[in-house]
Amino acid sequence: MRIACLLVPDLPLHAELRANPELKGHPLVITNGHGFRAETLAVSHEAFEKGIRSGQTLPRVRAVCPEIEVRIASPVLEKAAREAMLDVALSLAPRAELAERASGLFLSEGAVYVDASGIEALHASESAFASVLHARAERAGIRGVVALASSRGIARLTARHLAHLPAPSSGEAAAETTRILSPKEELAFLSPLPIDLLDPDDRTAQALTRFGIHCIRDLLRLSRRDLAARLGPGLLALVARARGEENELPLAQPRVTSLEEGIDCDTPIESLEPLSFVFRGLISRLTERLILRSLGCGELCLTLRLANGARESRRIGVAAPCQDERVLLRLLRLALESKPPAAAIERVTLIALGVPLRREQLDFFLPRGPSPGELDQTLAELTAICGTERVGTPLVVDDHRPGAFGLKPFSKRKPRSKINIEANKHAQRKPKLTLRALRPPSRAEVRIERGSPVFLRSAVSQGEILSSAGPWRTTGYWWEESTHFAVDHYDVQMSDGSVLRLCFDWKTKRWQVDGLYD
Amino acid sequence: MPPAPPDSSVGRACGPVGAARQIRIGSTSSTSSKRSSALEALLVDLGSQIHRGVAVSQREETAETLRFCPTGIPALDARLGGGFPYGRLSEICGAPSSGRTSLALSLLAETLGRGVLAAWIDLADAFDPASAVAAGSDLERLLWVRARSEDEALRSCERLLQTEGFELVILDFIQEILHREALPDALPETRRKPRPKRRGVAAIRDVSWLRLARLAARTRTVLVVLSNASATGGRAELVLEMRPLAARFVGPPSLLDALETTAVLRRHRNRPIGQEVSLSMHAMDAEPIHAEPKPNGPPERSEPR
Repeated sequence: MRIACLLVPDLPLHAELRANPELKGHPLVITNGHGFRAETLAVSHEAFEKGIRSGQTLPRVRAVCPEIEVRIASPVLEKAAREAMLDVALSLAPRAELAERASGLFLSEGAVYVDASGIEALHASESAFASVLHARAERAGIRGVVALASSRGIARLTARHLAHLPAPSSGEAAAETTRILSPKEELAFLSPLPIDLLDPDDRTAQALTRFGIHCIRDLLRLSRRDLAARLGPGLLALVARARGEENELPLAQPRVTSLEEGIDCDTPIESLEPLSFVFRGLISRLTERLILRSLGCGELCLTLRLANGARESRRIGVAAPCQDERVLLRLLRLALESKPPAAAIERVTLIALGVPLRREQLDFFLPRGPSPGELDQTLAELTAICGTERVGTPLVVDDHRPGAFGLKPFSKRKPRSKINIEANKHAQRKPKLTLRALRPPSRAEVRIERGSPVFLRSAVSQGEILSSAGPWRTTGYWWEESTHFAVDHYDVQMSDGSVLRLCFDWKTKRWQVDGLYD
Repeated sequence: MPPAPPDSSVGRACGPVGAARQIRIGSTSSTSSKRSSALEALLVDLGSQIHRGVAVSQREETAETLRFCPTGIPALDARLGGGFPYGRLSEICGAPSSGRTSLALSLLAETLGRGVLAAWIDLADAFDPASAVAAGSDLERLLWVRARSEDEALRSCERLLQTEGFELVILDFIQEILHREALPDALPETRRKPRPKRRGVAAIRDVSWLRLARLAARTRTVLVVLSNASATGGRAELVLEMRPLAARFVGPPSLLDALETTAVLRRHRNRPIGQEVSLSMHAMDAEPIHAEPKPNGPPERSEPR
């Protein structure tokens, strides 16, 4: 088995730079808090050159470099960066997984393993594959190193060694970012490496130092039984890691396709305009990851943490799997415009449900119609303009209540069997007299003589009734008091020429005009 | 780029009326003055060709390549030259019960029957799905937008016209109810409340219709406006006025049988205006809209363009 390890030594730093690319080139430190006792967790190259190191307190950092940019480590950004690393790996191989989090000295590193077995069939060599993996990660905003070996442990040790090599001074060749270890040269390569790369716990590290064991070679020379007798059985795991003999399950093919991005706002955002800038960054990173995974966004789930402590979640449906940044951004903006959040926003989390992209299947006999993305955007805008429940496909419902109708979401997709254009073309249409509904019905006053309406006064029309037909009684839901209805309908022709549908409601004992024949 | 050989087709330009003139660009014998004059002549020729080409294409579009969306009423389609034109703003106006909505639903049914998408923007929230189905519409491909104000209706219409793929957009601007407030209980019958001033289409700025007409032209959409009175001004390519004639009752028992109306062509770009078509819209299942062209005299006039 061949395993590649993509390792990022300062993940909090790269996660911040990925979310805020404008900070690149500036001295930047990531701290664990705001106070005087806050310590730096990661330091950018520019800050390192100014003499700032990890572990220094924030006041000391500011004293050394007053213009330094300080950011607090964000778990949301780190999580998104880790998942982005996995997406980069999955763009090159079907089996990949996130490495378990390290502790101690390597707490801030992030790593991902990729199954590189048989990769020569796709790439020229393992070295070319490692270069592609490194370049693709860098394009995704994650600068790391890549090592390829026969096990996860050895690949990670090698990558860790590469990441902690001293930076080359000016005039020297660029730092090594990829390393391929064949099974034969693994032991020779690992032997001189310091024992700290194995990430022992503090107690074991002190004991090894006390025994004079500083590099892996020293450790491997000793018998396991003696080491276990003197330092405890925990040390055997360390030896197995150094030898690449850890029990490793085969890499699995991940099934999770929901991609998450989030951000903590420096100050609570109160209006939608600055929020759209936040959305733009989130959507941009999400679409990059969707493209890496060859997926389309099937649904967006927006979660807002508000300044008043509340959380708001919204689901924004996407008509067709989409990778278009503008469409998703527009949908998101419209969703918030139609229903703004109740308070200022402190944290935004956006989850895109990745679904396989599908090509639009054009019908040989049907006009093409709008593209799914464009139609989706149009419907979202119409919903934002007119409100929800006011845009859709009309439905004739199975209900005898006056004015009953239904509305369902509009979709241009329709079962092919229901469309018969040829039949429609040759069908003898029988258009009928049409009723225009009045919603709500207009209240009316009617004079009755000999059981027939003879005069009408309403907001629609008023005057003498020349002809009338009816009544036709409709009743229903007599078993429920709240929904029971009983109405009499009349068709009347007014003196001004209009033909109306009058309605007498037996429940309220009132007349109303509920339609106009037109 | 190397100069073209003297006898090659490069550098040969034809005049606007086909008078071939040979211009040799890069010829070794030509002087710089000759070259510049030849270039000027070429530019003049090309300019005239470009100008002429655009003019011809516009004329061809209006006269020959303009497509029509039929209403499903053969007599009316014949008078309209095939139906309502694609990429143009049309208007159906008239008094209440003049058959405006019936005609629009007939057009809608005919359009949806071809398997295309259509939209109905409803300002008065008056669309009746049951009537539309009875008129033969397949509602699965109809987008119904229930606007709450004129502004919403116009914005929705503008957005729909920006989306390619909707062949027919009907903007229903008819407002039957003049004032929605409840009738006062104590109002004596003799004292009638004065009718408030009609608002609606008249208040729409002309620039809105212009914008909608341009959008319809860009996406080749049939845009039909329903209104009480002609409101689109000079922006509509086709204006059809509906006039109510009578409501026919049969019985006993008394039943509403049909509406008799007349469609009058008030404006058309290519057809003589003033022509009338009698329409009979039946309420019964057995009878379709019956249309009969009236034996009119000569058309009133043809609107100059």
